[in-house]
Parts: sequence; C-alpha cells; structure tokens
Amino acid sequence: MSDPQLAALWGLGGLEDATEDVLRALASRFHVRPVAAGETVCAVGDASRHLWVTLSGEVECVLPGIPGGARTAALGPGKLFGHVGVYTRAPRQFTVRATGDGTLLELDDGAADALLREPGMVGRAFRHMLLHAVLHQLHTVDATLLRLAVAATRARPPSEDPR
Amino acid sequence: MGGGARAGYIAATDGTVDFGLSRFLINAPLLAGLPPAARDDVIRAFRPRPFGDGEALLTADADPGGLLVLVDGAAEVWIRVGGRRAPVGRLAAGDAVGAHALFGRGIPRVADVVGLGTGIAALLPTLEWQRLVAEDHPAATAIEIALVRSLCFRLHHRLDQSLPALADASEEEVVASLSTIRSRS
Repeated sequence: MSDPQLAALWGLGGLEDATEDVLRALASRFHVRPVAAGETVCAVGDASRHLWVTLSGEVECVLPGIPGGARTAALGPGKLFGHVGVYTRAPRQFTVRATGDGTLLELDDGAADALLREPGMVGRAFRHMLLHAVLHQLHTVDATLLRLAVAATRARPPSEDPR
Repeated sequence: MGGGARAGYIAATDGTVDFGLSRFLINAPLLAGLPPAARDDVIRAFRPRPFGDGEALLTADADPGGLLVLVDGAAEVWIRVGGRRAPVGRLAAGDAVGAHALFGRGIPRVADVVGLGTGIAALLPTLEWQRLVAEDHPAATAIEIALVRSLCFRLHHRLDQSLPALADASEEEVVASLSTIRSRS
C-alpha cells in the first residue's frame, strides 16, 4: 500500500483514532482508477453507483445548462465525492470531470453500503471519515450561502427605494 | 431555562428517560434494527431535554453536550457568519442534531437550533457516546449509520435547493435560495 493512499484518506478527517493498520485495511477496500484529462467521472442525472476519493490530480464539479458553464468546486487530492448519491440513492447532482490526468480511489455502491454497516474498527473508521467529510461539506455550503446573502444585503444601496 | 416538559414526557426522578420517551426512542430511525437488549441499553443512556419557544437547543458557540434527538415539537436551524444569520431548515420529531460535537472535530460551527414552541428532545451525553464507542456497542454502529444517511439526505436537499442560485453567482438569487430552502425544509 502506497503512502499517498493513506494520506488521501487521512486528509478527509475523522480518522484521528484510527491506527495505520486500520487505515491500510480501509484503503485496500478501494480500487485505484486512473482518469485522463477531460474525462467525465459522472454526469448529472446518472444513477449513483460509486463514490470516490481524489488521490492525485484534480476534478471539477460543474452544473451543465447554466450560462457560462457553472463550475461549483475544484477538488484536489484527498477529497470525497459521490457519497451523497450513493447513500441517498438519488441521481447525480453534478457532472464531475478530470481537469488533468490523475487517479481516484473508487468504491462501488454495494461495497460502500457493506462497509458502512461493517462492525469493527475498519467500518468505524469509514463511518467517522464519512461523517467528518459530510459535516465539513454542510458547513461549506451553509457558510457560502450566508456570506453571499450578507454581501448582497450590504451591497444594496440605502437609497434603493426610489421614494 | 427549559420550557417545561410536555404531558406524557415527564422526566423520571432519577433524570433518566421516562416511559413516553422510551417508547418514542424504540421506534426512532436512529436506533432502527438494533436487537432489543442493545436498544434498551442505549435508551437508558438518553436524558430528557425539554425546551421552550425560542430557546436555543444548540448554538454555534457552545458544545451541546452530546447528540440530541427531537422527540416532540419542532425546531428551526439558523446559520450565522460575521454577526449575521439566516434560517435554513426546520426539524421535526425523529431528527437528530449535534453530530458536529461527536464527529466534526476542527470544523467551525455556524448553526444554531432554536425551539419553535415548547417541546422535548432526548440527549445522548458525549460521555455515554464515548462509552458506547469504547465498548464497540452495536448501538454506536447503528447511530453512526443512521447519521451518515440522514446527513447525506440533508446535504442533498441543501444542494438541490441552493445550487442553481449559488452556481449562477447572482447574489439576489442566493438570498432567494435561502428562503426557498427554508420553505421546503
């Protein structure tokens, strides 16, 4: 097991209590998937059959159909994506594309569901990793929305009302 | 100050949950699929937490002391950044809050949860949670699984309602999206 895989998982957070052996066991459950520049990892509306952790390179999340092609996030090494669709069984909300050559750690939905329910230290480490990542993503969405809302309020001139 | 316990959910004199709370927790999604002995064991670890209208059940500034499960009544979620705040969701019976305290080490908190009318929640104290994890108790696994699924649904919903406005970077639409999130939660 190469260290970058452990580093990518460690970078997700929530694994403070996991030993290196547990991390190695967790990493061994994922497949390594190379991706080429421009390759679509998943497309908006697709069935959600995998989750991924970026190992090297970068992927971008885009919302097709919006003028200008809205890029909502760029995910470098050590970022989790695809899990929301897997655990809600909802179609993909984003199209995700590789911006350059890179590698992903990939887990299919069956393995992801089994690992979620697995007793013992490896299952626990996986759940704690997921919980930390989702809480961080919720925080990011909430904080971004609120900052933009506050900025919009402040940008509004006091003489906005023509009367 | 607490808002007073509601009829049928009076705390037992030793501070543990009473029959009404126990009956609710037995059927709570958080403990779904547990064998009865393990379920009864974890239910004994919960404590009643009555709340009043407008009372903060959880704030961005303070550790809630554990995981809270709303049993009766409703609560509203507010987010705040830079001294400003906005409502983003509403919680109903069965919803859990406070996962941040158990699993969100290092992540800044931005959410307050405030009672909408009087109600009662059940608190699983952090120390009890740590005991369950240390024992590799099946309830710890069941609770973690339920939280992963519910937080993924929460994130999906939040993104579904807000992404078009966010992606378009129109500030007015972002403001409107906050209202949309609130009205559909």
